[in-house]
Amino acid sequence: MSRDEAPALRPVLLVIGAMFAFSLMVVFTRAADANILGVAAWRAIVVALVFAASAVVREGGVGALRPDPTTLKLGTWLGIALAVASSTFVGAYALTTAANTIFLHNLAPVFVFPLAWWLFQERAGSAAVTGAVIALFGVALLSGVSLFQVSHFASSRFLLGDFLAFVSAIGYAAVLVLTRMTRTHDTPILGTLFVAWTVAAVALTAIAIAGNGFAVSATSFLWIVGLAIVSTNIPFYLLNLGMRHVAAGTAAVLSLSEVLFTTLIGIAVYGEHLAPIGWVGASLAGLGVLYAITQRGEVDGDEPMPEHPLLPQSVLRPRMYRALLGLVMLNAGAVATVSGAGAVAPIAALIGLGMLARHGPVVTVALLEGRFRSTLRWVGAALGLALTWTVYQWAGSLSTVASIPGSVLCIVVLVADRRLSELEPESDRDRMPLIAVALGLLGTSMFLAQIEHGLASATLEAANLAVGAHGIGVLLSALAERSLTARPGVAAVERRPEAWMAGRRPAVAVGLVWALGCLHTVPTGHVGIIERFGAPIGQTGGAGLAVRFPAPIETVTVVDIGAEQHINIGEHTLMTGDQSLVSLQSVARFSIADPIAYAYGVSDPDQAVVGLARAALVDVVRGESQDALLTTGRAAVEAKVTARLQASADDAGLGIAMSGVNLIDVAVPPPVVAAFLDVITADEDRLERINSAEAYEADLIPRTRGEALARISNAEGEAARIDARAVGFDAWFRSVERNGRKNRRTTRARLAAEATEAALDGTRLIAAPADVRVWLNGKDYWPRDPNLSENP
Amino acid sequence: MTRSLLTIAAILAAFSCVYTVNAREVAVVTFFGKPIHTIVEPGLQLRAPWPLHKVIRFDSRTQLLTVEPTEVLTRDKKNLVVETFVLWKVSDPERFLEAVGTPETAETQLSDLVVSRLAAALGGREFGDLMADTGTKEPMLPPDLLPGLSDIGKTRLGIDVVDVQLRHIGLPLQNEQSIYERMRAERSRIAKAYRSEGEERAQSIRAEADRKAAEILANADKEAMGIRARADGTAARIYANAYAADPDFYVFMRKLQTAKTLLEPGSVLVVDSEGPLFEALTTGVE
Repeated sequence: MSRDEAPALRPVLLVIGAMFAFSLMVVFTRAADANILGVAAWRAIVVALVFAASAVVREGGVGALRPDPTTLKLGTWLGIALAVASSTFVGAYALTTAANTIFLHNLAPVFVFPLAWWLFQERAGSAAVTGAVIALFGVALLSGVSLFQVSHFASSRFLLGDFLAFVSAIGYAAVLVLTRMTRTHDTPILGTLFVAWTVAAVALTAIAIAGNGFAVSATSFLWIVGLAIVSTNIPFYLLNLGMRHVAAGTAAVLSLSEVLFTTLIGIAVYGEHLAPIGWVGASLAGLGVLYAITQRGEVDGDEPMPEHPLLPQSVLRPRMYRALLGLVMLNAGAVATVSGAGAVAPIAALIGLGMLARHGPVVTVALLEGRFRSTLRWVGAALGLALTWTVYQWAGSLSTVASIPGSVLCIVVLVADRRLSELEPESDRDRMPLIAVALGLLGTSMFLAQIEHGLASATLEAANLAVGAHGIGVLLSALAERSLTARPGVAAVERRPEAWMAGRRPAVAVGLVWALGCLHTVPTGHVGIIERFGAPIGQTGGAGLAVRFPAPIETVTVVDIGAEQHINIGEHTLMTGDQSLVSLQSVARFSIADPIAYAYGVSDPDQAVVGLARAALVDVVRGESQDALLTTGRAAVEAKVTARLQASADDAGLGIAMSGVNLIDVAVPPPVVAAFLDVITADEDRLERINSAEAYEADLIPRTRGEALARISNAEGEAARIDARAVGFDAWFRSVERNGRKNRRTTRARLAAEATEAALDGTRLIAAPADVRVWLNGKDYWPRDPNLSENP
Repeated sequence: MTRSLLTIAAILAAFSCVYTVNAREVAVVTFFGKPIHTIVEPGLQLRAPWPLHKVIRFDSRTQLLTVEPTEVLTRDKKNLVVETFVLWKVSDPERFLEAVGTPETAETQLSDLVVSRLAAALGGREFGDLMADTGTKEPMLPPDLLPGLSDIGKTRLGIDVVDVQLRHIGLPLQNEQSIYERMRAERSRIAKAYRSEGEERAQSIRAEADRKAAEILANADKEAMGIRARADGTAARIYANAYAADPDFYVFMRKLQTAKTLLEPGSVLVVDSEGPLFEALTTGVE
């Protein structure tokens, strides 16, 4: 028994160096900027070529490329593990959060410990286990993993992604363990890696081609070459050199340093920021790795393994293959989902998950010889719950895909699983009837869709429900502590389906489903065209149920003749008759007048309507002026376009009756909008100026009228004053004259005296002889005799 | 086991001898690659199993082809960018299979054909005939374009060209810019006219208002003067009547009044101490 001995520092540094080189991957992958499936495939191809070349140079010429059986076997397994780890990692990255992917992928040590133990009895030291736990906790903090958010579990997409990341951890663990195995078997390093990467390249290329991601640009390819050599060829070589002396478990813990390096590169190269909790996580990850290195001398004593394997070897081997079959199915379905291959791919992945949920835990427990029993039982229960939940979410919304190869594949998996179950002894046989039913229904559905049979959708839904029932079975079996036995099925859920699966009943059931296809429903407002072997032979009498031969003898093509169809013609800029440009947006409305012509006349009637409507618009608008289009001419244009479209649709044999073409928006093209708006502003300006002048007028005239009235009033006032003064004087004069007549002289003297007094009142009087000069305020006054001297 | 395998093989063999052609397709049956007959009627058909007979199907429905925008020159040397919309369908499946093989090839060839024919057709047209908002316009494409294309399609490609239409007519980018420039200039002219018109109207309204105001004031002044004149007249008459009673006294009174009016309070009166005024002041009048 090999053990985690205390290796020298050099191999440890080699492994850490390899991890550093691995972490550079992020730089190259980002720079390559291509479809990640393509990057994975081309990288594998380049890596295989480089290893081939270096094996030829370093390990004995061309002969190094002809591996011995051990190298071939181990290399092939290593290649499969590489492909699984790589493809599932890519799938997980596409489906769940980056944090979850990184965290779950780094769970590899958890799988390395039992795998290494099982495959070559290499036990991990307590230092490695402790270091792994510390480092994993750090990685969890570092990646900000969202595994524990409840909302995360509500999405089947995330669950599938998490699961794929989990599988990629297993794949990565297998890579490490197998690398260690090749070292203990001492196969030629480069030759083995060449075999492994050739296998991986074939698998990844197939996946990339299936996912339509194989084509990459020349620039991307240069970066991929860098990626291959710098962060794949070199680190794998270093890893192999190091793992001569480092146990798989320790290497797995050391591999956690890759996350640390990637984070540091992110900070240094891409200026990424790390939250405080991230720094704590990074420190913990570093500490864990350091712990594993420094304490690696301590090795636990040999514990006796439990002696009671749960499954006999005769059951274990077929079970293992059946679990692997499930894994393959899950992986194929998941990769197909990610690459958008078809709507049934998720169901296939779900069935694979169902198979894995049933057999995975029991096989693992058996391999671990009884350890982690309860944990694995609950893992099984969780998977069952996830299955049921996903089925519940998908129910009623699945869409069918027609595929004969898919159908055949389902039957092949079904038959393979049945055959494997027959290898198990009769008493311990687990038939998994619900999965068999689901596989059969999925295959049938794809076949029925191919022959355009009406029940394809219903069959697919039934397949989904069968998987859900299987999930409930897995959950119940775990709760009843039966999930780890040889026959974990729940009779209440599975007995009846198992009875259905007996003998020729599946064939009869398929026949029955096919025969049920004689019922065709025609919804209200639709008409069904009956085709016998593809030839239309008549129409159904209105809506309702039509009983015809099932597909492919007779099919019913349903055409909507009731509802008015609306098609958006889209927006386009057209030239008007006065050589201006207008932007039009329009909608064509029509109903189907001749269902036969509509169904068989034109390959894409809706696009034909769009194309012909555009042509009609071009033709009509070229005869209209821009102003007419923008203002009053719309209705006329609509009528003309409708008439012209109807004519060309009739010529093309579309079988439609136009209800109208509506111009929902007619506008000037964006570059001249400002000029058109300025005209409106100018009009406003015009009105504004007129208004302001009118306001001036409205203000000026009343004010002037007031002024005029005031002037007249003033004049009247003055007139009254003049008049009054005259009248007053008249009265006074007459009175004075009348009264003074008696004593004329005295009266006159009095009047004169009074007048003089009154006149002189407040007056300074200066009397001086004529020859005296009077100076007043610096000026000379009276009398001014020119003969007088100027000086007083 | 053997029996079931044989059954499966028999079923497969039986299925490989029948095929259906639906109403949306036509088929050509080939014998080792040589077309031997054409199926245009939908329904169930018999055939020899592969590899003797091979069934090649084509969509028999009308296909849509939107030709990439191309630049053409009108007779008056104006560039136009046109996007053509062609409806076509397979009319002679055997010819189609021999000449082009796949719908994609057919569409490529048809595109080239349409582009060259269209360039020739539009090269004979005046731009002004295509675009006119007055009078009767000519059809966009000459009436002989479609029959010509259809003939070539039938004989050369085994297809029937159902319709050819222009789904877009535009100008090259730089010409489009000049159209925009012209549209802007046009709008700017209208805007200026609006603003000037506003200015004109405003000025005339103001002038008219000023005139009206002056007139009102003039009328008022006229009236006021009349009032004053009448008052003065009345006053003059009253005064005259009063004076007529004693003109001598009036003169005396008027002199006194004048003295009062002349000497305002605070004024300084300098008189000749030997003159009659001073004497009058000291001795009194008369």
